[in-house]
Amino acid sequence: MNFGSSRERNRREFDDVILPHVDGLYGTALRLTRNERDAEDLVQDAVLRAFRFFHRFERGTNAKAWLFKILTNTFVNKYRKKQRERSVLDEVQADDGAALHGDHPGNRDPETVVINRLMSDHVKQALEELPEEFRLAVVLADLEDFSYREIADIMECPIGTVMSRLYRGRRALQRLLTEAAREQGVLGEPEPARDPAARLRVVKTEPGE
Amino acid sequence: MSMDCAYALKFIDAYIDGEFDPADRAEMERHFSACEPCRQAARVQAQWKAALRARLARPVAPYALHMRIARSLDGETARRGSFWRRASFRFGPAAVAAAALALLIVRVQPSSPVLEESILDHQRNWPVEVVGPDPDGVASWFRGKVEFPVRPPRWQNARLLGGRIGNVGQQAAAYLVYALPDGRKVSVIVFDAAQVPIEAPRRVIVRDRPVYLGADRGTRVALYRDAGVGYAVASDLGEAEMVHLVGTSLGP
Repeated sequence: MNFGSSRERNRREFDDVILPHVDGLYGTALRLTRNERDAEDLVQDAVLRAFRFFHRFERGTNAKAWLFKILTNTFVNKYRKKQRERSVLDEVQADDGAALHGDHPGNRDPETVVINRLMSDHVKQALEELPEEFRLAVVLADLEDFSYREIADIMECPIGTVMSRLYRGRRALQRLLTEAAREQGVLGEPEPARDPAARLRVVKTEPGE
Repeated sequence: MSMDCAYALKFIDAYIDGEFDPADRAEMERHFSACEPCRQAARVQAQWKAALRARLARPVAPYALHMRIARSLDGETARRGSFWRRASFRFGPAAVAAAALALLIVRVQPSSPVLEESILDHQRNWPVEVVGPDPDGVASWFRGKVEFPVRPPRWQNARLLGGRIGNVGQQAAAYLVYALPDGRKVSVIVFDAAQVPIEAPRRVIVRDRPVYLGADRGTRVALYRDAGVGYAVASDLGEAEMVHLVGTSLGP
């Protein structure tokens, strides 16, 4: 007679389905909490929660998205600290009306894809400066390959919100990275905007826009 | 032109992220083919995305975190002890207590020669004859050299350094060595379970299977059988970590 087999089966299934995602969870937790100790605590909490609610997980559905949703909720409920991080986005807000072609530093020129000239630490630092919900959207889309539908589900928001968080988060990040590159001396002074861009900017900054 | 630049640029991210259906994609591309600045913006945005990915390679969760998770899951599994209470209700407390003892009690048994060999092997540093980290490459090197399939355990956090041929008793066996992220070593002997007995002082059940544990001179060894082949895993890990390591290497 094999005592404990149903418990063992449940645990084995959990290990097989969930534990392969621990690295991904940890990477995202690091970007959310911005320090290793909190990231480890957050991942452990989230995995334990997932285990407690594993009976509610619909077999055959997307385990990774389910798990990241638990991670996000756990973070919001237990780890989120009051953050003063609005200022980065103010510039993007200003950008929104005029983020066309050359106006926005991120679009300007392949040479301005400056990440490769920066140390990983600078890239991490810039990402960590983004407000949380923008940072999370970027991490989920660019580092974890989630679709907009999945991100909307994980962040519990409409797809339109995902799109705007991604758009603004990425532009803010590009701006921060471009600034960091300039500070590090690996990028020259900004070039003047191109002609078509200038034309569009005039159009976009008309009153009422 | 059916699409203006403001619209195209607004949806450039969705285009790059592969969120568009073919018709919308085609419409975007029609616009790009007529508008150099938008085409360039899309190209540059795709480069940003790729560069961010390349630059922020996914960190690997520390080994200690995997261990913490395993232990907290073990604790959680044990805490749900309702199983034993339910069993007790059905079969009577005495029968259940006896069954539990049979499962958990420390049983003193004669030890397998592979246990001693595994401890000695772990304490030696030998040069590898085949170099890792590719388990398939190492496995194929052993083909024809030993009379059973060598499937090096695949651990998320332990890197296969390499292997060599050795002996357990009169039998040829595959000796493998792994490195944990903190630099500690895990030694594995893969042997013919039909020729070498698998026993050690302590028996535990891991994923429904018996695993035998022994320790001496600071080295702990786990012996088990998987798909008819014997494994002796030696390390200086604690017992819980060792059991977790074995659990993650067992096939279905």
